[in-house]
Amino acid sequence: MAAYDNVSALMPVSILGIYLHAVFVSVTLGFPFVISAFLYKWARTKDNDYYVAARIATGVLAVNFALGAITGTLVEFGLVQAWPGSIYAISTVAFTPLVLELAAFIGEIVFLIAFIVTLRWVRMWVSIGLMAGYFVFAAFSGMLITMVNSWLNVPWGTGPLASVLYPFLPEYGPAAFQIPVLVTVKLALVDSLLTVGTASQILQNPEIAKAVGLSLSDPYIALSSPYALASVLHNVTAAVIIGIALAAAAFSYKHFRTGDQKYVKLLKSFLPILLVLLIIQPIVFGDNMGKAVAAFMPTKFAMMEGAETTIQNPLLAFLAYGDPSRPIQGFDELRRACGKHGDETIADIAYEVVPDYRPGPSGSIRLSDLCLQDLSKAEKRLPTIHAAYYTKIAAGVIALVSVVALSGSVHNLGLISSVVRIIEKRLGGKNLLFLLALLTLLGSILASALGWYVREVGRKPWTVYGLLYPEELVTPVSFSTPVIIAFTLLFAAMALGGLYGMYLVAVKPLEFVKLLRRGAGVEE
Amino acid sequence: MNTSELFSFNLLGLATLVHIAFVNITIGTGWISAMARYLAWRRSDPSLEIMARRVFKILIVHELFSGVWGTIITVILAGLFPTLLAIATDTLFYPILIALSAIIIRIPSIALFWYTWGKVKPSIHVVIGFIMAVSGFAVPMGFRYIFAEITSPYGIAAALEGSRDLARLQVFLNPIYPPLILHTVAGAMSVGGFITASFFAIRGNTSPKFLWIGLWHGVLFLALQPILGLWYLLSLSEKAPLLYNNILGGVQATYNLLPMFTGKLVVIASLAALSLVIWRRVKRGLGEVTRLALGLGPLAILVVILGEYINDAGRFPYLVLLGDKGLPPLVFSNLYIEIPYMLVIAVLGVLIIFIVGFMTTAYYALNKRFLADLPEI
Repeated sequence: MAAYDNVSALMPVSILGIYLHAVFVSVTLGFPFVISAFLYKWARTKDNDYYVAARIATGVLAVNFALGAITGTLVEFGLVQAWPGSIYAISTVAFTPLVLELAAFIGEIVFLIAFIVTLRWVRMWVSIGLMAGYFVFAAFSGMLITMVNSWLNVPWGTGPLASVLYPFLPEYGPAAFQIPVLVTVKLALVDSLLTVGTASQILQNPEIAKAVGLSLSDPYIALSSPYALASVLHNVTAAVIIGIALAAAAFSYKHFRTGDQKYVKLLKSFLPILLVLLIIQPIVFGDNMGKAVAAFMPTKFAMMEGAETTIQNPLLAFLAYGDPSRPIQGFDELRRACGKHGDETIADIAYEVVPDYRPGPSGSIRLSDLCLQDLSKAEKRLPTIHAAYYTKIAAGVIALVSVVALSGSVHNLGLISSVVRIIEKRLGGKNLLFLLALLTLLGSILASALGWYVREVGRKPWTVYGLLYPEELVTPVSFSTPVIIAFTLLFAAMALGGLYGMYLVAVKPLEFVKLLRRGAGVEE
Repeated sequence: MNTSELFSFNLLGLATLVHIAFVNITIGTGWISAMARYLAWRRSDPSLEIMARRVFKILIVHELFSGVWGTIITVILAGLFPTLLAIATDTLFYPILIALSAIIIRIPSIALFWYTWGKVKPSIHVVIGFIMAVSGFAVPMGFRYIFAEITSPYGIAAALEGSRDLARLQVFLNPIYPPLILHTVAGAMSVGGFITASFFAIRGNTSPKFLWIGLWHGVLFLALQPILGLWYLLSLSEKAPLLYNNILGGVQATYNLLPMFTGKLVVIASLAALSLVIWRRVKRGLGEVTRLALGLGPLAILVVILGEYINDAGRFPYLVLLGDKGLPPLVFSNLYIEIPYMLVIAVLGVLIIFIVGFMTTAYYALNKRFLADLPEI
């Protein structure tokens, strides 16, 4: 079937786009802290090293911002072009976040360019204020996009709909969506998929749009999801951590190569921020995120915990539910829940919900079969998700331990510093500093990358959890594989070229400016 | 049109106008900057390298805003005209892919062109510059297919007849497209030239040589416009009679744009006359800089805005034209939610405040030469 082929071809491109975007978003959100720390120290000490470092980091941030913008554009265009079924979500539940995101995006640009062009010409506190403004809008943008993504994970505002199809799912907030309308859309997609082989093209038909009509009564519903709130804090903090850890690794590397203490001095100015964030992230934000998954996404939680069957684990149950006696629901129990459907078919439900329902090809599908089939698809991913999740936890622990040791190496942290000194004697100060910074960076990246993997793959087989599959949203265009490969290569090449450009900006001295200097009248 | 339709139609039009105004500046100045950089390297001419860098500053200030307004158009289409966007992403899949690929190349190459200046060999830097400049033209080369299709559905017509796969290739044969894209590219080059000329007439930034280079670019491409414009108009008379009638204020006009079209011709004539006066004074870069040149850029932008307004608003009361009739915005409108207009207006207000505030700061920074001619670090 065409839709399934398209999903196979386009999913890797979308994944690449999202991951590359995440790389640049991390620098976007992390570097403002690094640059502000440099400027603060420069204002306090008048040491020019801080200014030079701030200037170089600003150059890297600017190139990175451009790359973030194009990868963001790709993700956005990709969403509507590769997955045009998502246009229905964009024009309903994502409408408000995306409109607000425009203000956030333009705010980012205004503050960043204002910062760049006025740096050195205005008072340092003004520059730090401009950088703070930039961060606020960048974080706001991240928050809004995360909220849209969160709706895909937990479709807040669809009330009991998903739980009617899958009895093991909870209700998702108030029924802000018109349930009969949503059911009509779903049935139209499924029927089109079964008859034509693709589904999303139904949105091109003005008559269908008219027939569907008003779908959502509260356009602000995506902003009130408790799952979204937990996700925002967790994701934005993770991005900030990676951005700062990248800067820490870069300066540690320069110190490792040159032995110049200047780089340790620069590192010390922003390291405390990284330490605090890496402590808060698992204890507060990670914990909230885990609780949200346990509450709203039982299949994902079972996959994360490797619960093929229901298990008793008081510690885990306490962390997840706040109740040590509660069992961790496994796939066996989820399957039992599917049995509640009995012999009911989709048509049985549709007759109850949709006025004037006329059964299509989907009408005869038994709900229990559908429920069990989707659970099997989810369960197939259990070993991978389980391994990814616990590798992520381990990576996070490595990052945390490393940053604590790194801080103990450059600051006086009592007992921790004493222990680090002992290790330093064995490994050498330069080596250890670089090793710890590298482990902090790799641990942070691995934790985030795997965390995102668990978040996205863990909601499969659905794109909108419990409601819509990828094949219902994918483009009906039967494109040729070489076109997609060429596009992917172009995108990857530009991203890699951009990363290399950031490296050049960071490390290359000005070598080819003789002509320019003559032009500016500086040199004869 | 009801109030809601009119609001959506106007909002889309406003975003398109702002976007087009900005991109004309960035595409034209991008090419001039890249070419100046190339000639500076080949001729070892220090002044041309300074020119390339200064012209590029104009692009830097405007580029991200043009990009933002492009994103705004996408959000407006997805939020207010989801059915139209769904059609576009299918039938116009390949043109959009071309534009998207161009954007992917364009934005990073702009950042790299600026930040690698002096850090990589001049030959490599020149290549980055040309990649940046050429990719700028490729963006409208993709997106103008959408404009061609909503003016005279060609591929979409094939799609409606059931030939969906054929339709995706048919869009490339839309007869409206060749004159439209050439008219667009010449316009961008002309605007880039005139903006450059104005930029080098600003006090403290004057240069007869640089002004001359900008001026001849502007005049050359302005001279091509009557031919290209007439070609476009004639193709409209055949393929989009409703728009043609509206532009010339015909008897059956649904929105008489003849006064505005006349106004556009008057502005073009003024621009040509002003160019002639300055041409005589600047004497191929060896004469004097006159403050009159400050008017060139704004006049060129005004021509673009008037032209785009005529092209887009000329389809009123329809969004997609079908010969002497059309499909109103309501056919493609978002019927899925009650649009929170207060939110949309508030965000629009924020966007306008930000842009006005920022442009004031940016022009002040350019005027004060905060963006150094020489890279600092």
